[in-house]
Amino acid sequence: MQIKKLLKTNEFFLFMVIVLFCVVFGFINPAFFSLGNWFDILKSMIETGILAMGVLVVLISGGFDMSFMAVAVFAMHLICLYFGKYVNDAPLWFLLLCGMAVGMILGVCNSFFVAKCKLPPFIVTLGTSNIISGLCLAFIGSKQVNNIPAALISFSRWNVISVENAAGGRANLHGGIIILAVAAVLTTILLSKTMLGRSIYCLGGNPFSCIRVGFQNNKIIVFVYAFMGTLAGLSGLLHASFQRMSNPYDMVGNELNVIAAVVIGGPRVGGGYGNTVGTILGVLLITMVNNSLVMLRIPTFWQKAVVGLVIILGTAIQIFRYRASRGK
Amino acid sequence: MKRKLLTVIMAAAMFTVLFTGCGSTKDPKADDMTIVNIPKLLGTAWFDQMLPGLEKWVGEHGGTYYQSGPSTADAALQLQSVEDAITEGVSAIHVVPNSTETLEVAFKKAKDAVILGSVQAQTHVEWADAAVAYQEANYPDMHLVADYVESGEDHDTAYNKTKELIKTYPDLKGIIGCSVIDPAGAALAVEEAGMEDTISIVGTSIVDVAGNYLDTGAIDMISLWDTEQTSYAMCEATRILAQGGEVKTGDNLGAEGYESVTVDGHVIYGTAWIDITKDNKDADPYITQ
Repeated sequence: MQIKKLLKTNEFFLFMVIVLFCVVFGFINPAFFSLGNWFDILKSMIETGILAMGVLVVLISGGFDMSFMAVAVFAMHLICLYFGKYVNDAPLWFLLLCGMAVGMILGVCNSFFVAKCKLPPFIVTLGTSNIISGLCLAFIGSKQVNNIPAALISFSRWNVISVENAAGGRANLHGGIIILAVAAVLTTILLSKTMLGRSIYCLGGNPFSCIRVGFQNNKIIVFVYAFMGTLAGLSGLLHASFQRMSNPYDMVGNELNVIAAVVIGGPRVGGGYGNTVGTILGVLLITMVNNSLVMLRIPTFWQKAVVGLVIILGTAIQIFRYRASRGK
Repeated sequence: MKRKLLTVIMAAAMFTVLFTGCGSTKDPKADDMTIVNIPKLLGTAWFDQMLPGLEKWVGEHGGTYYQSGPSTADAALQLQSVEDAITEGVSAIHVVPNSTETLEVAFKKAKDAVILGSVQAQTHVEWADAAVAYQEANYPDMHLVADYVESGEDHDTAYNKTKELIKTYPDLKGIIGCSVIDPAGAALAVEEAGMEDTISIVGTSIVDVAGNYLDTGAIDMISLWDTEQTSYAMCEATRILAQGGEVKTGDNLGAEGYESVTVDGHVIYGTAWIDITKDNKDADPYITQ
């Protein structure tokens, strides 16, 4: 019975789609199955995955956020520029905490417009996204910073596994994957084991019954956007670490890649549905496709089209399955 | 931007300026020229360096200038900047284009509307084509393994695509990066894979961005030219054209590397390039930080 139920879940279906892609990719280029390639895919999942956890929570609550990349860049550039210049030897945990704090503050600003002013979250965050990027370029700096704090540089070299491969090079698994794992586990606990988590689903499902049950909707909204902001700040600093520099023009513009990964993973825009397993699988699928197109020898100009196609297919399949299940 | 795979060093022509459209209906004096500089994208040291060139020229000849452009290397966004400048009725537009095709219509419009010389740099695709042609003619044992790989002037993309290239082509011996961030992004991937000694990276970059990788040996050599000088030369060329003159081979545009230019059709070639290895990093004019 248990297994039958599992087979019917969205997550299992998504998993099968990923397996199918793997088989096709591996058939075209066997190097796809190499350890190095999987380590690379996992590393590429770190930033997207952390952001996706935040987006998932926002979507479940029935909200929307278009500003998380701007928040990430704001936190990244602020911390890298000032700490790089004045406190270059600050420890990693402190830098990450500062980044998360900056992100959280910006997230709370978003929630103010959504909760207090009752404005549509999509429009609000589109607006704040532009404001935050603008302020970042105007007041923090519009130039790439290469002198980032030393701890971020050494973090970029922190591999938990490092294996020599046949070609004489090395295949490395970056330690940042642990941060993603922790973020995913904490989000899972939040959503499925806490009252706050249940209230987020409730708010997304039906805000009126949420009030009747006794939840304070505005407080939930503040939490949700603050959570998103915190994770955005964290992933911004990781981005600077992985690139070994901070470029204020990075990241912004890639919001939809993350949102697509989350939506493929199951939640519906409108709220009330979704879980972390689906989201991680969605991130895996998008990352896998994004990071395999050169390996599949797809010409550069076609690569974007292929990614778009996968997004449409992935989402369409979810929606058709949903309709079919309701038709029964 | 295009990055391509070869086994050697690109020593092809380093800089060209292409003139499109320079009809002059009025006869503007230099001191009432408004020049707008529209690079591929804002915020990189490479294009920021064009500002002092403009400032110097305007200081000497009068007129005003400003820089405008997209925040990502996007042809459509750059087109908007060009069209805004046309609407504003500036005297001259200096463009470093993401795509010449996209801008062609706007250039025509500019020609019809205003007094205008639009000056632009060649695209990276043309450099890449030149490098491949040079390799085919001179290095028969070398071959291009992949189609051009596009980084979109994005460090992360250059890094990730290089990681894929290393896995896809285990015999890869060299990478040429055309955009300023390409060699650095590629070098990060090569360094992480521990392949600094087997894969050579060369390309256009500056020490501020690529210096660390020159030290570690991941990047073997970078080539650059001082865009301050280029920008100055573009201004000077604009003035000559706007006043109804002509730029001819051997002319001096008053900037370093452009003392005696070569003109081929509408293209003006300078000789401003500088090759930089880990031993002559001080020769980089961009070190500002």
